[in-house]
Amino acid sequence: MKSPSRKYITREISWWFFFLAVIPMSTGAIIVHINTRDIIIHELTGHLRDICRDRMKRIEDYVTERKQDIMVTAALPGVESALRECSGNFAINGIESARLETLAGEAGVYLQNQLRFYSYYDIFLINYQGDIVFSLAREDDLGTNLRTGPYKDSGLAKVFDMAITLLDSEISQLQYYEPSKKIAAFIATPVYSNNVVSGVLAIQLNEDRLFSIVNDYLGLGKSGELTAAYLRADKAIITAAPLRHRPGAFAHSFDLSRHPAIPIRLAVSGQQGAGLSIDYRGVDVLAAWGYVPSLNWGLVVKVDRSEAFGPVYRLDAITGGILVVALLLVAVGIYFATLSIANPIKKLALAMQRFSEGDFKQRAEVMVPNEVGLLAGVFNKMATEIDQYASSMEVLVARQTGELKRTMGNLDKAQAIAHVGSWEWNLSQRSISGSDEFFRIIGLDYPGNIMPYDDLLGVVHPDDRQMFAGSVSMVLEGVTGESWEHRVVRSRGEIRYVRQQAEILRSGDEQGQPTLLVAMQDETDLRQARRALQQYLTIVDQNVITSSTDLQGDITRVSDAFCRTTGYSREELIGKNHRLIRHPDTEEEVYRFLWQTIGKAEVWHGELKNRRKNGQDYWVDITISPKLDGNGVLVGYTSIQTDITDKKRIEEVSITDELTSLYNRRYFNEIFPRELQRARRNNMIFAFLMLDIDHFKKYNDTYGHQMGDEVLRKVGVVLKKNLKRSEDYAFRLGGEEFGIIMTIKHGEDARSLGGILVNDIELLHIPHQENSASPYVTISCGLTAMEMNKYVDMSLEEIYRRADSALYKAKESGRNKIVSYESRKN
Amino acid sequence: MILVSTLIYFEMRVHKEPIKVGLLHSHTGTMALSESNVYKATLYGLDKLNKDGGLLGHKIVPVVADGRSDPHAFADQAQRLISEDNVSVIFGCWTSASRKMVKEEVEKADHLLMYPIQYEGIENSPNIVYTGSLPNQQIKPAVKWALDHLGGRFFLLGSDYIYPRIANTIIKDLASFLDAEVVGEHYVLLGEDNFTEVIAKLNEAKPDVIFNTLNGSSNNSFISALQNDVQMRAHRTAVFSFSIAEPELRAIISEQRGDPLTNYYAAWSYFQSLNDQENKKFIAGLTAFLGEGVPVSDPMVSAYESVLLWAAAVEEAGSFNPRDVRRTIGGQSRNGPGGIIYIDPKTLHSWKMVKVGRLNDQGSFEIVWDSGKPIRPEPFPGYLYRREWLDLEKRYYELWGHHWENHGERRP
Repeated sequence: MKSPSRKYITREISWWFFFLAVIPMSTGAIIVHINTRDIIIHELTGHLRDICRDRMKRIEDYVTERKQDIMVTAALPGVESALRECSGNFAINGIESARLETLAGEAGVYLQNQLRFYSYYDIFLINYQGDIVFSLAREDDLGTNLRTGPYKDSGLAKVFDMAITLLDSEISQLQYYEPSKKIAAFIATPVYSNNVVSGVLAIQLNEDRLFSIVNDYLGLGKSGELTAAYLRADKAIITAAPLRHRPGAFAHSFDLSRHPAIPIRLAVSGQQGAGLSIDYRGVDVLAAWGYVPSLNWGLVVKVDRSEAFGPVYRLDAITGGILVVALLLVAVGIYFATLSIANPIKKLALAMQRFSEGDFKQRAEVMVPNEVGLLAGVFNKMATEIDQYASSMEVLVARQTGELKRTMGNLDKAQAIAHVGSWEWNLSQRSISGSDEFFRIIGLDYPGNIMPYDDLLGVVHPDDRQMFAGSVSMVLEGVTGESWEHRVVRSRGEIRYVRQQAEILRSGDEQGQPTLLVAMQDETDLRQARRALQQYLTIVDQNVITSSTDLQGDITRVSDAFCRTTGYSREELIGKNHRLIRHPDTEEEVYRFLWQTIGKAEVWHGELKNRRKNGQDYWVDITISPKLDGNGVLVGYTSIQTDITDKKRIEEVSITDELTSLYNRRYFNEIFPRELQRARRNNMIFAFLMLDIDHFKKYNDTYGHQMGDEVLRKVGVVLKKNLKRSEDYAFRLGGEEFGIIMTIKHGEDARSLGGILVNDIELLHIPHQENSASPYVTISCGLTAMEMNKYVDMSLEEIYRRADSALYKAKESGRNKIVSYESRKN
Repeated sequence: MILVSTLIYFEMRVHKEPIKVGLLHSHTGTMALSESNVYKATLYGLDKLNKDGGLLGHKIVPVVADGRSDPHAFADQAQRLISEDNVSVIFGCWTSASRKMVKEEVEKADHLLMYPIQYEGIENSPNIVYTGSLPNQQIKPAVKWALDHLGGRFFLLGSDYIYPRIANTIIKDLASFLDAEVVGEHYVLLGEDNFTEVIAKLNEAKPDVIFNTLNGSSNNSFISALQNDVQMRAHRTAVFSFSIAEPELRAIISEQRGDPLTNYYAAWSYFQSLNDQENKKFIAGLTAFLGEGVPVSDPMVSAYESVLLWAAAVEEAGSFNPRDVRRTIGGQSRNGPGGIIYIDPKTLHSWKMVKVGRLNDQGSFEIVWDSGKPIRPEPFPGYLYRREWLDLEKRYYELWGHHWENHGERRP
């Protein structure tokens, strides 16, 4: 079991040792190396520069001295005369002159001494025209002309020209001289005769002298070398002195320009300098170089880098040794640090890690006398406490886990019963987890109830997928509680209708991603039930006259049948009061009772006469039920009605007198006890008027039955006209006899009505010759009225007798009048 | 800690005090025109140094002083540069009069002057490095070449100040050594523009060569007079000029009407027409630096070389102290636009290449003689004692009332 912490601590300690020890030491070593190297280069460069300057000075001094020597020699009278003499002889005898030697005798001795003393190779006298008229060595050049002869390009020719042009001592470059078959340098100086230049005295130097300066390697170590070279007209760099590392090269005009040789290139082109470079062998060297103007030489003093840097390498070796030892010490340091710090920490860490992984019996066996040991002790103590605590917790957890499991089981069951599944989606993952019911609804099975989100999309009906994804993203955008419906296609194409209700849990997980919580209800069955219900409702709506109102009776809902029956459109009805269709004939009493009943949240049932939009009457059998909300509070009413107009019409015919349209005797028998009961119940006055057309038998006899029926009808109209209230009933009791029932509050109302009726009939002015009371048809009226209550027990028959008795009295007392019954006691 | 020390180390390397150097030339007065070009060439040299990373890690900053064409002003400014501005070296001067004044100052302070102009010699200050040509480097080759190729009758014409006097003394001596004949010698005051008398003399003497040491604008008048004289035109007398720079001479000659003038000569260490790589690079660099093309003269090249030779000496000395630099400046050499230049350790004058050029019909100089290697400088030509040269110089100085030029009556 390798844990990261186990690896890190040793590595970190090693790193810190490395940073704190190795890097400063290496940096120090590098700085020492660089500085030492710089110092050594600087010192050595200075040394090489000094040698270079010294050699340049020695060359220049040597040349200058020789120049001065020859100038002094040239100024000697003997030389001038010797030149004149030789020149003269040459003019006369040419090159063949045998006297050259002898003529040179006097000056010859002096020049011979010079040659020997300064170890020159040769001494020449040259006339103004350039003829070599005298030479001690007497080589092939003697007698030739330096301007036109075979040696006109030689060093001697050039130095002759320079001397005579600049009127000064000049030295030629060191180069191969054919007549001597060797390298040669010449110095020439003008010779004056009477202050006019008459020719040139020239010497040929023994190159050994120059070489001895160049080839002096004193103070240059084993690899040190001086290189002298000049730039030939063809740009070749030719060595001017023998080389230490190429002993044979000099004799063959060694061309340095064919070799790397950077310092010598710079030197021959007139540059001066010093530093690290590369020499003609291609070897790295430390060099100083300069230019020797009189010889037109470049001079390089150099030491091989390997030799020059000897001290640096030695120092590097020592520094490297120290570094290695230091590294070993660091390694030992790391070892001990690991032993005393890292290992205990690792042990402790391991113990802690095992502990954290659940091994509560784990203890750290660390016995070191430092803070780590202390830490281990504290850990062990803590571990023991946690272990005890954990044991007690375990029991609790087991119990609660059991409960949780039960709860979860219940939830699953509840979901199954309610057809509600649930799923959640942590947005940091591609998978969703769902409840058992969720998977049951979508008809899929995934191990562990985990499925990819894309699979969920897969079961969504293709036409709904876009909407589904849109709804999910709306929820994610912050519209909480978003709900949407869609279809799920199960295997074999079975379609289920589901509703999703989603919420977003922002607190999220450790990555800060929110979690989507979704409840999913399978509404397929509900939907089917709802559809059936809807069909049923439609049928009901079409065929049953129903309406709903609020507590004030304002219509909130009506069925199509209701609209059809009333003739109003739904729009005209909704919001209007139910009074709109009330028929004015219906007694107030009915409505009062109706409202009393339904106001107590009881069902009222009855028959009501209503009026259509077009004014037609219709009858309904109506049941009004209270409408209660979820809390049992009354919120309105619902009525269910049946059109009973036809039935009513039949009923009406059966209670109506055909001739007068008043109620018939049969209906009187029905109404009379009911009204009497009602008056008794309501403590009202019950009045009964009995009316009879005066001498109607005689009228029939006089005017015929036809006219008689007409009178009856007219009397009926008057009665009907004067009965305004719905609680008043008028009847044709038989023949020419009529009856009126009134339930009233004031007894006079009945009396005045009777008076009006009597009066109105006479005012019809229907002629009746046989009437004893008037020329017109009149009626007589008997009235009985008495206040009724539950204590008054009066039979129908008694009331009828009293009215009949009063009518009789009216007939008796002259007719065309109203007479009220008066009890005998009165 | 390591980081900090590394930073400090580099900080120290990078932010070293700038080193001041004095640039002492005339920016006003009659010499301003000539000296301004030399001044620009010096600036170019300093710019090159700074672009190559400065010297010993220091930037070089020029302190510019105006000598106002007045020798006394030169002395004052030199004194100020040394004592107030603490410059490490002075680059400057043109006329011998100004140099001689500055010489006293630099010698008093044991300082260093880099002097880039050709002059008469007869001077050897341990505090002055002379990078211009000496008569032996310029006049000797010219005279010998003239004698060999143009003829032995010399006419010496110059402005009346110290350089032509000494130069002509040397020419006369050379003529005598070479058995040539000086058929006339004539001096005009500085700025003279009437050459009627001179032309008359020339027509009488009929020289083969005129050695011209006229200064400045007198050259225009003289050459114009020469070209307009029928006799002189017929003779096509050769003119060897020493005292005016190559570009000016070319300008003057190109102003003249008539046939191309091919009988004009000059002896310099540097010609602008030199067709080598080093020269082309130099001209291109200078043009880029100045933002315009300018005629390049020998003194400008010497001024440029002065800067780089001084820099080499500083590098070798590891110090800006003039005393340290004087110890290392001798023996320094460079291969510049004019060829190799080498500071003679004994005289602090320069070994220089010498070339004789002839104006060709294309208007540029073609080299007719080349020393091929640097010529040793001879501030005191060896055929006389040093004392004799100094006496000669002193004689003229006193003759002109303690001036280095003749301000008064023209003398023969």
